[in-house]
Amino acid sequence: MPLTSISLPEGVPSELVVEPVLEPRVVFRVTFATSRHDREALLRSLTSNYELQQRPRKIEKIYSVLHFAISTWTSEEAAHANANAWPKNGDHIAHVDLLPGLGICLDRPWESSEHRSLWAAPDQVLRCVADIRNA
Amino acid sequence: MNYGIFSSAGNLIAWCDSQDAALNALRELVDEEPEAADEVAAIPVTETGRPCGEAILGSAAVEHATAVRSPHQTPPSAAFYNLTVFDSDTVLPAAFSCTVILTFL
Repeated sequence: MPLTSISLPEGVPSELVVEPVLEPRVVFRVTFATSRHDREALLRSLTSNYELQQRPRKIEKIYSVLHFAISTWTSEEAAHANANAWPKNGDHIAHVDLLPGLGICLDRPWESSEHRSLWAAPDQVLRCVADIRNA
Repeated sequence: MNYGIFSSAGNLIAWCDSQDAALNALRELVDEEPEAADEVAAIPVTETGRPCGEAILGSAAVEHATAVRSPHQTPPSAAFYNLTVFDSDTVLPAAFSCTVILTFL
């Protein structure tokens, strides 16, 4: 019998705001790529859990769009902290200058949040990678 | 302390508002997907969502749950049974009693 309604699990927000990149924005992404020319590693680290053929988990079961998103950070320090907390995520930080007009979207969480979910075709984000540094 | 739960690809899959909630979430993930035990982790974060400590792997959350289980919930181990069966204070007097009874019969 199909479910007629469900309740939001604890900690899951009741709405998710997604906005297109309409002017240049900067985000940082943890990666295993060691340079801008390391295209294969960069593309691999710019893929969502869906693209990696992982099944939807937790919040991805409520907001399927998050299954298609990648996590980025609004400060380099936050990205460094992510890489240091779990080196399995990557050992370098990609500085990404997001350009308008490429179909890239970001979520808009609470104001002080340093985390941003990002939606875009990986090869479009690849065009925006400005620099890569050691984590 | 808040926690973000991330996949090994570095993508967020849950937010939790306490370590207990994060550990429970990890255990649920591992229950559903045992092969992903080392592919998901909870990372403590500040109020701005910035990571601020070491990641806790899904496999570690499961081990933690086993370690904190109270003794009366733990099934007796094989060593427990062996100790009971071969305890000389119990077995020898019992054997002696049987011998005495059989002698008088």
